[in-house]
Amino acid sequence: MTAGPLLSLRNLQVELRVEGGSLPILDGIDLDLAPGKVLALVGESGSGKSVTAQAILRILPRILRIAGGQIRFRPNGSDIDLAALSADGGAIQGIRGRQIAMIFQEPMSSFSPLHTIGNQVGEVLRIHERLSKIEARERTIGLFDRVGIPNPASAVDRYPFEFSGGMRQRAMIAKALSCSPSLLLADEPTTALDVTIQAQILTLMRDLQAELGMGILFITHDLGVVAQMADEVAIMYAGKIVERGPVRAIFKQPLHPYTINLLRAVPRLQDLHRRRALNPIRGSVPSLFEMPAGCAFHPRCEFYMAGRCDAATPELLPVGVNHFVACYRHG
Amino acid sequence: MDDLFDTAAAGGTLIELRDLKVHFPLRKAKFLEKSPGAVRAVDGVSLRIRRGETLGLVGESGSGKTTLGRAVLRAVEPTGGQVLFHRNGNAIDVTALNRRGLRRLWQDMQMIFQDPYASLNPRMSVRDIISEPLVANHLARGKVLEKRVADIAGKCGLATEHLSRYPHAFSGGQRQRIAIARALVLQPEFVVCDEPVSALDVSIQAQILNLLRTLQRELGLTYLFISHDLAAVAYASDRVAVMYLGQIVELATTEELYYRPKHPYTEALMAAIPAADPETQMRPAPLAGERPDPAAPPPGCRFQTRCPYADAQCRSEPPPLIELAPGHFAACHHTARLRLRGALQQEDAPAAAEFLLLE
Amino acid sequence: MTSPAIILRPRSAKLRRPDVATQWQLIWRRFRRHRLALTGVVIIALLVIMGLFAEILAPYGPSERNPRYVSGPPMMLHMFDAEGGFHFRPFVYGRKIVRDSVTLRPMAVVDESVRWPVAFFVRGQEYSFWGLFRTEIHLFGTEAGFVHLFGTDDIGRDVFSRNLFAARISLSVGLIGVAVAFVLGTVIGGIAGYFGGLVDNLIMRLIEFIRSVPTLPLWLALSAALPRDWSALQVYVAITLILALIGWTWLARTVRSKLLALREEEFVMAARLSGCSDARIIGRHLLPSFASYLIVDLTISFPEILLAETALSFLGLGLREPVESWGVMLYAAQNIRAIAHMPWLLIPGLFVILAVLAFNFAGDGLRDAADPYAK
Repeated sequence: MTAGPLLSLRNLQVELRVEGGSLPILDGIDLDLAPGKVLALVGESGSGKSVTAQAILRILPRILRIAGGQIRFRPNGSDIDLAALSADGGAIQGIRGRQIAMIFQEPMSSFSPLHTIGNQVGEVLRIHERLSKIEARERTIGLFDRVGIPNPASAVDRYPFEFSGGMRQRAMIAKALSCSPSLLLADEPTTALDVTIQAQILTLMRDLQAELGMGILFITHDLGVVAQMADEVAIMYAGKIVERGPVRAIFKQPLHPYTINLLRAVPRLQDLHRRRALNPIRGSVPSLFEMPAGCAFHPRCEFYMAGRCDAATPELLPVGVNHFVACYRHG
Repeated sequence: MDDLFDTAAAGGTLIELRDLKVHFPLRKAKFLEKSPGAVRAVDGVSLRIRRGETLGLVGESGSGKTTLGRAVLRAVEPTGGQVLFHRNGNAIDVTALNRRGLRRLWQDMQMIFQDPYASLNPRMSVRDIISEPLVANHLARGKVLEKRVADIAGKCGLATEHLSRYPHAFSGGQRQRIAIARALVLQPEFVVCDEPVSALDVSIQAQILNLLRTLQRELGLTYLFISHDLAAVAYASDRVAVMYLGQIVELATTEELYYRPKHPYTEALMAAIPAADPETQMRPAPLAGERPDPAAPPPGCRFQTRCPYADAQCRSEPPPLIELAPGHFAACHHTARLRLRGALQQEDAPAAAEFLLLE
Repeated sequence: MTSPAIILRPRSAKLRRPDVATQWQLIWRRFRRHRLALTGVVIIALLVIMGLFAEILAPYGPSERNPRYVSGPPMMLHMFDAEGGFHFRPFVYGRKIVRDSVTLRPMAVVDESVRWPVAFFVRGQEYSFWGLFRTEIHLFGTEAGFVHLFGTDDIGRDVFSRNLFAARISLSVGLIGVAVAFVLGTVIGGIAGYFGGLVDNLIMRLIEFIRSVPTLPLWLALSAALPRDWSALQVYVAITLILALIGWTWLARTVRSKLLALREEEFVMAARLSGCSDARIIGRHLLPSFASYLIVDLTISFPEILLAETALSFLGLGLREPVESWGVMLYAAQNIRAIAHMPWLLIPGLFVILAVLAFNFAGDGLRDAADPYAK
């Protein structure tokens, strides 16, 4: 297999244009995703996790723009900097849907209500592999079967509104995987689903990933999903990565105060019998217009050191095997 | 359903639901048609909520839990059954109240909604939002009004300078605080919390859950806590009811339900939650298929289409909700014979049992 | 553990913060970016000033006749005379009457030897300014001779002055008509949308009935039915009401459909649970949430009513003298002779176009800016 990572973000910066200037949304992101692995990108609202995925595929809304950094994508030995491509150009269009695919949170709004599901899923094949309509339809039926949609031959001719949420998500997965991409971006794919359906979808995704050997950037805020799906985890806060490492290390030895607090603040069933009180993180995520100086987490941090934490933003530094933290308590 | 009597309970019954039904007709009845099909969102729910407790109500989409919460308050009109509100020794039939009676009732029963972005009028200041119930009911004016608003806002963690701002200036958690302050300014006894933390960030959920708990102690509130998030419900509730397709399938104390469930659906729900522990192996998805159409539920037990233990009896006879152990109710023909697996094991809980299916 | 005041990252002071702005501030900021819409607003403001201050701005009264300059073309203002000399004060050349040798018609021709300087604040015909005071001072004019910037009509009345007075009439008909239609539409549409059911059904059928009748013949029939012996003022009021009574249906439908949708929103349910009466819910919660749509409707229906009144008057079925709108002025221009020989009589038409365009541009800008909560 290829030695280097499949996807490398280096100092990625994305800014938001407002009246009178711009504000940083992503403040220098560094990430590596190895081929065939699942990297979970964890964060709450305002962390910038969805923006990261949009930046990779160059589908940022017009008020956002990439202000610096690199997005290196290395499928099968080639090496492309996606940040340097034109957002409307043929190069990125050839990559979208073929080598990098994306699935979204709301399957209802990801499909056009005016076309059949089969039409929309087959569209990817017609564009990238130049299949005819009939060939695309046959392949789509096969894909539907693979993702567990019952009666695929008739499902192909149905409209999105005839499907339940779980079925639409399966169809979206089928569409994403139709050209066997090497990288899948999954933006909260199960957040809007019932927990029993979520279990089905997560099982499906893990099976398909093992089968196709693709890398997955899995964006979520649900720590349970992270624990079950991810090989590596990156925690984001206010546009920066604050901790990154293998999933066991993050859960067993969290180092960044935000990570520690996050794990303590989430109600978990295994703590039920211990009647453990929840310890919320006081305060709230800072608004873009009132971003704290230095480490963005310092106003909410129980280990705040005046003069240090508010002076300069801490760097993401290695503290163990593949484990990185951006905190002045550790290097 | 008198088998739902609370025995030696701390508080008496505050709210009683008797065979409550909410059916939404699919379309208007055609000429000479008896009645068209209907979505049976709530289909015969009987329940007692005790004074001072938090009763959790869990279910997935289509279970009818949100509709049930709204029907208790008559924010949505029930199509059958009764809701009784016990106040000062009298049982008030909520379902029979006229408009004026309802407005009076809503000073004692209130609701907190899921979406803090949608439940606040974006064009009213926070002060106006919180004081509106007092103003609309002509209960307070001037200085008295100011004081009551400031009091409840403070209890909900809002500062004085927040009162003159508008909802869009606040984060989701803070907006939910505003919504809670509005619901509590009338000092109600009973509050329906409809997914109060589902739309919030996980670290903020804890703040709001703790706030709700504190307010319950301080103000002597009774909650109906509706959620699809099993962990949040476990944290917040004393007892939990599980709904599936418009009916209660299990009701028990939180610990009993989560560790020793007696209904296969509850077992499946517990098994489906991804454990926040990378050491735990993820089990294969416990339930195949999807829920049936609420307008056309299957005959017999409604869970039979997905239940791994279903048999011929399940397909023909609907199981009644019966008390299997004190305070623990379940609606399943085979519950006595099944050994169902709960969420996780307590150290001194019975050892993990495989589920046995007896012929 | 309390933290002291948080040290913030420095940011540019020029940054505008949407999170602390009120709704109207947000709308205004977005509106400001539309050049065309701002131009529209400026033009509307100018037209309103024209209408309000017509007596002062106009050099002549609306019925004042100048027998020395009948059917005269517009008079140009000059700063340079025929020999190239510069005059600080603009002037018009004098006119003298000569008889045309062929037709024997008296005609006014330019006499370059005479200059009539145009000054500010000259005395002219006395007038009463909105009943507040009487004076003879006009904003500009000439005491030496006469100045007709837009020419005169066939009985010697100054088109420029009459145009200003017509602005007042046309705009006020539009304003009152829009106000009446607005109230009707909002109330009726509101009732239909909020209560639904049978009430909604009845109202919608009524609206459909009204809309199914062709508008122009309906207007013509209604205005033709007005008694000929009514005073001009009575006709004015009647015409305004006729236009409004047919114009409210569009707004009623919009209001109704918005209310039907909003009725199910959670903040409405929360308001009901808080004990709000229906009236309070409609007035305080529902209507303000689409106030922006209502404003946009105003900018759409205003030009419609303006054009309708112009058309009716142009056909002789609308307002009558001496209550004269732009449309009534155009009525006098409806013949070949006028168009061929006196094209300046069509200038009021240009003002109608200007007004309609200005409202449309402003309305476009408002529509785009109106919903600051939308993504």
